[in-house]
Amino acid sequence: MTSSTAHCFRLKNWAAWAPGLPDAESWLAWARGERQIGVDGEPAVAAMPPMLRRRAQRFGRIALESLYALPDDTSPIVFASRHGEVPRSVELLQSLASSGEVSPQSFSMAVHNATAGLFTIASKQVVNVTAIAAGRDSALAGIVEALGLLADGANSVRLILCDAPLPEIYADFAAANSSADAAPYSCVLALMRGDDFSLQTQAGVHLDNNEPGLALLRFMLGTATTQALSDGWQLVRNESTPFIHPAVYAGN
Amino acid sequence: MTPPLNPLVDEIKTLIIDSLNLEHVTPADIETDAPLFVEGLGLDSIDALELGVALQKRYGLSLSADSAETRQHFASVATLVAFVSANRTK
Repeated sequence: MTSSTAHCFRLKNWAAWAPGLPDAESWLAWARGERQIGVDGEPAVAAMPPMLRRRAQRFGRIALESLYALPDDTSPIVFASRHGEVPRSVELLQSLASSGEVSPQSFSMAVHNATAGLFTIASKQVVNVTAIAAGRDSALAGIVEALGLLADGANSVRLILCDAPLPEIYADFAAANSSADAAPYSCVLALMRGDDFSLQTQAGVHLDNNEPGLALLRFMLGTATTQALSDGWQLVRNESTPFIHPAVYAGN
Repeated sequence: MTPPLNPLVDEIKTLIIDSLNLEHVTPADIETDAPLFVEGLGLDSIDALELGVALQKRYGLSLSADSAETRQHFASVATLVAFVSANRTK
């Protein structure tokens, strides 16, 4: 690995799912600020066998729909989510408190890497999976992990960013100005070595967005030259990087 | 063979569907005498735990977690009906 390229990458492919954005064109309109992510609805995840799909609740299904949208990709998976399966954990804790019993099935799916694991089982992909929860730095941590895998020799990496609204009981813990926290979404960014984008530290950069995952996706689909990913960290678009038109998208 | 009119048959089939989130299955899809696990309905070990919790809660049964006897009770809907009928406390 050389220090000059280890922080650089290219977007090979992408897919995304959120309520109200059924196709790639609608995601591009969202990236231009012309459309908004909806509130209700969940994807069908029709590609997954029903006996495994039944294990996934709404958050998991949102993540799975994007993973299934790149069916031929068998690269390592970096699964980054700030809140993950917190709705399940709340259910389990409430059940434990009220009856002393918890659902084994739900417990088995409550760990942070469960959804990515379920996907690899269902799709029979024997691949590396890394699951990350790093607060509002989850997108940055996901990029760093993906860059590490690329530097270690992976030809490409699937970085999946996903989140869903926090349960009402945790409303006090949602970030201030939390409208972005209420947006359920998932996206898969297939990254490969290249010099289209570079991750840089930059004094004075301030993250003014509560959902850096969505900000990252918007940046990737747009033409802006920089995007803060955390305080002191930013992504920079190479001036010669052409606009990358999406090749695929997650269905509705 | 379980008598066809035993209401426990449909009750337990519904309990299986509801507790295991078998959203694509109806009671009519589950054969009373077919295996529940691996073959037949194709349930797995997590389903066995889940079903055990649901049966204990609903019928007040006591189950030993991993015995040959318990495995026999969980073989099919018919064996579960017989087990519940003989051991239910509610």
